[in-house]
Amino acid sequence: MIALKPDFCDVSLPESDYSMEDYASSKARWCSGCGAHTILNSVQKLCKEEQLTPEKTVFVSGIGCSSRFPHYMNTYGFHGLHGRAFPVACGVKFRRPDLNVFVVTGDGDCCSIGAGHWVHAIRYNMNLVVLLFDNAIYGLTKKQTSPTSPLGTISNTHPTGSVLPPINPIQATLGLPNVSFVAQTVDWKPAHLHATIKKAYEHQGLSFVRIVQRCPVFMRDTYEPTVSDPDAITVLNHEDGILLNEKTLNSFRHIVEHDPSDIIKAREKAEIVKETTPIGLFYQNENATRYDQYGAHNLGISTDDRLSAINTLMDRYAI
Amino acid sequence: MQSEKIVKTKKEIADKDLPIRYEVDDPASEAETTAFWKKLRNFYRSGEKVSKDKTAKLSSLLTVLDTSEPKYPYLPNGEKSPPIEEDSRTPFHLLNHVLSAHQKENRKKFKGRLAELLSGLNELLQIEDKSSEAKELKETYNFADEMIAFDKMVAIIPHHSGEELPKSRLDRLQSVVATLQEGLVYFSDQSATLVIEKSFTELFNKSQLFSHTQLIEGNKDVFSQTQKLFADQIPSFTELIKAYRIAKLEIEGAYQEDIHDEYFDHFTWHRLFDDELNLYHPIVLMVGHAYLFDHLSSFSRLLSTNQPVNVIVFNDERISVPDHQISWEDASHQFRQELATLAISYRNVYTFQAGMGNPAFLHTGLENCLRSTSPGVCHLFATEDKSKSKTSAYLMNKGANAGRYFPTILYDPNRGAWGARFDISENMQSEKDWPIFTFSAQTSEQAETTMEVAFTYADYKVSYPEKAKELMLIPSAYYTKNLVPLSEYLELDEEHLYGKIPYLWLVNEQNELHRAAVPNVWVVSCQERLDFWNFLQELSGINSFHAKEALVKKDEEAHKRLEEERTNLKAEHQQVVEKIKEEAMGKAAESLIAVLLDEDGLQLESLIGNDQALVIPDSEDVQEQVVDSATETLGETVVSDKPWVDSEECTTCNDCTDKYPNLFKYNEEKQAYIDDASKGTFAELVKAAENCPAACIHPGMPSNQKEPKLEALIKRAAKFNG
Repeated sequence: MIALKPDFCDVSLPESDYSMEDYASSKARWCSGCGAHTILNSVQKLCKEEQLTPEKTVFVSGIGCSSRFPHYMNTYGFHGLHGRAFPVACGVKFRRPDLNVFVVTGDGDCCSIGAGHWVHAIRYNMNLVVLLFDNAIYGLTKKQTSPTSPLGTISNTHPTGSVLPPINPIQATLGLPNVSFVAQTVDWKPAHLHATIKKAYEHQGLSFVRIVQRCPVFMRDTYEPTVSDPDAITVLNHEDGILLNEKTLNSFRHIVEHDPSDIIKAREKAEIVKETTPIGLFYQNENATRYDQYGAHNLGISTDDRLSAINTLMDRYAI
Repeated sequence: MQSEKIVKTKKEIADKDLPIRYEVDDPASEAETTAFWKKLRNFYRSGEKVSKDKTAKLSSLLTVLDTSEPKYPYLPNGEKSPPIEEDSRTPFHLLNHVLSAHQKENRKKFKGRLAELLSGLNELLQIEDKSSEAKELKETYNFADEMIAFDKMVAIIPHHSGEELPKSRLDRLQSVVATLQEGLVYFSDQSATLVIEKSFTELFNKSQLFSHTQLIEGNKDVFSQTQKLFADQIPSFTELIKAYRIAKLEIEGAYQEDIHDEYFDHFTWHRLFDDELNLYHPIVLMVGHAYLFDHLSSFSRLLSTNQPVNVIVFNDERISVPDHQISWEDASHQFRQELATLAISYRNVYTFQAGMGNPAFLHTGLENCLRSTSPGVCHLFATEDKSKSKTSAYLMNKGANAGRYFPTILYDPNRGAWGARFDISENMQSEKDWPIFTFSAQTSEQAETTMEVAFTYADYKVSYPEKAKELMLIPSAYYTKNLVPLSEYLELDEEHLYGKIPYLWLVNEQNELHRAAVPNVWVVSCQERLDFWNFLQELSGINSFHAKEALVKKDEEAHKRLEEERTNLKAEHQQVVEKIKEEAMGKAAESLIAVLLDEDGLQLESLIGNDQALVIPDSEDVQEQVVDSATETLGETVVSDKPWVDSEECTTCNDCTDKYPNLFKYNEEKQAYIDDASKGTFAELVKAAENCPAACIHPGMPSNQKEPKLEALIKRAAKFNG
């Protein structure tokens, strides 16, 4: 029987064949009109495009509207404590470098209670994709001022308007050492959003993506004008940046050239948020140090070997 | 220290082991300096020195500049042969060697050829040379000497009788044979002829040179004597050559009486070929420089006759002879050094000028001179006997050469190409005015500086101690910027010369450097020598003004051409760009029209009615008009009916799909589209449009006119339909 030998078959069959539905778990319960739906759709599309093995993919989140995310993905997930999405994700990656780890966090989870972990996670530069769902409000707890709320936001905690200027998560991240990928996008431009998440996934290192998210219930007044105003967005364009097809690129009115290899220029661009929202790749550095690579050096050593190594070390101090 | 000085041998004079030192003293006071400089300026103008200084003890840098040994071409290299000590007689040795080598060669060649011809002719004539035949037989059969009577044998040996030759031919042949035989005897023993002027005769008698040459003592006018000598001797040689040629023709059987008889009738030496004339032994004339200039007219006559005579001129004029006070700065004396250019003006004279500073060149020059059939003039630099001067003859020669006083010149009239006849490339750094030497000197602080010094004519002159006396020593305390090295001083133009004094570097026995000022007369003679050198450079094509001009012109032409090409290319490029622009505009307009038409396929009638739209535009403006009008017409039609969703802009927020699942559905990308517009009301469409976060729902116009509150709804829908 000549025919059935495997080396006769020239056609290489794909080993897996996942569709978008394979990655979808329960129906998303976010408010209709919420930007999180768009992001969920985009991430599922990415998983399908990259044919990520569901059992090798982990979504780690903290607490908030954003952090409902892992429930709606048919992969492994970890819905953890408020502000502790980063430590858990880093731990997962450190010991299981073979898994695809995504971090889903919100403006309160990352920039408020989780700020400490945020700083060091950026510095560790492990191979994670971090999606910051920044809707500039505490939505799940029904409208309290968030660290990224614009000045003067009226909320339950500040009925007459917030008094402190907001954190600029992009600028803050660019100021940290060993930062390797910083991008920003908006959730009402699905083509740009998808391209950004895809590029973040491809980057080998911690890809920090801040997604300006609409809250149709609590922040509608802030976002309505922004969404329909073509001057509100400036696209950072470069051959090394987020690549869009011509049609999409031309649908934006303001396009600016920005080379993502220059961190100083990136910080300058991050400051223009007062006039317009710059979206695109601010900075990328492929050669930053990876702490997960350092941590993986003794993976695969069996428990017996570890015990004997410890014992050898202890024997030095034996009397 | 004087008492400790040992008798100096030649080596110690220029002690190369001692480093060259240059001591810098502190500058003297202003008053002292001014006073000294006054004296200095006076010295410059007049050459008078107020005080006696020790310049006589100093010598030029010659001794420390060149440390190479002379190279001889005929000595075996690599063997440890002691260096030849050159003195005034070395050129004679060289000449002797060259002459004898040349003669040997010639003799062999000549003898060989004559013998060949003779045997050939003998064959023709069947001349029985009984005695020689007998001898031959004897030699061959000499073991049978007692037994055989060879004479008798010769008679018995059969000879085939020759054919009958015509009488004229027979006569000719016989005379030719006789001449050749004579020539064989006479010319094969003939050596070179050397005609010597009287002043050289004692020199020759002392040495054992020129044993194989015929020495003839010159009378009062050596040149006309030589001319006559040649004129007397050459006819017999001409006859010989004539016989030689006839013999050759006869042997080949190519002699035709009607042509050749006439041809050989008036056969003078002018008709000899070069290689034939070369076979004649060389006639060499040896004269002194002063003698030549005293008999310049007969010298000129000799050269113009084109006789292959070689004149060797020994230039010893700057050696001071007690009763012959020549002033070096005498203009007429200076010009006499330029003998070579005088000889070159005869155009057909093989001229070369050299000294023992370059023995290889001298050797080749002499060889070629003897070999060429044009008259030759060799201008040789004679040197003093070693007992008289401190420095070696070789070094003095080199100095004269470097200082452009006695440059090496070669003029070979047989080198065909333009300008190739004249050659001064054997000189040091022949492209420069003066050769430049670098050496390092120790300054007093244990530091070393590198000095670059040009070796001028004045530097060479200073090698003679009696000339060194004429300079004025400048202590380094009085050094100011107005002191310039002589080579630089010569290059300055008039305005910069003012106030400057030229100096030379001198070195004493301890290799310490000192500056010495040079008087004006020396500067003038340097200028003269430099001008002569530049003249030579001109002739040989170095630094040619015409060549440079031609180069510059070529450059300009090339530039012009490139510029033209560039402008042409630019113009072409522009045209191409314009064309592309036009095409692109056309295509854009077409595609826009196509797209708009596609959306609602039913607007063709309105367009057809619009003539403008169907006219094919040929300019940008017309195209724009078309586009505008098309959009206008189509704009109306878009607004007319159909609701639609820009699916690509959909953010999948579930808003419309949750609220109005009858109208909106998700496609494969999970982005919304209107499934069936009739399944919902216009009000629903408008509400969905208002809620849509991406504003991608366009309600259009109501299809069902019966819906309530349509006007308000249409107003609300207006901003989503724009």
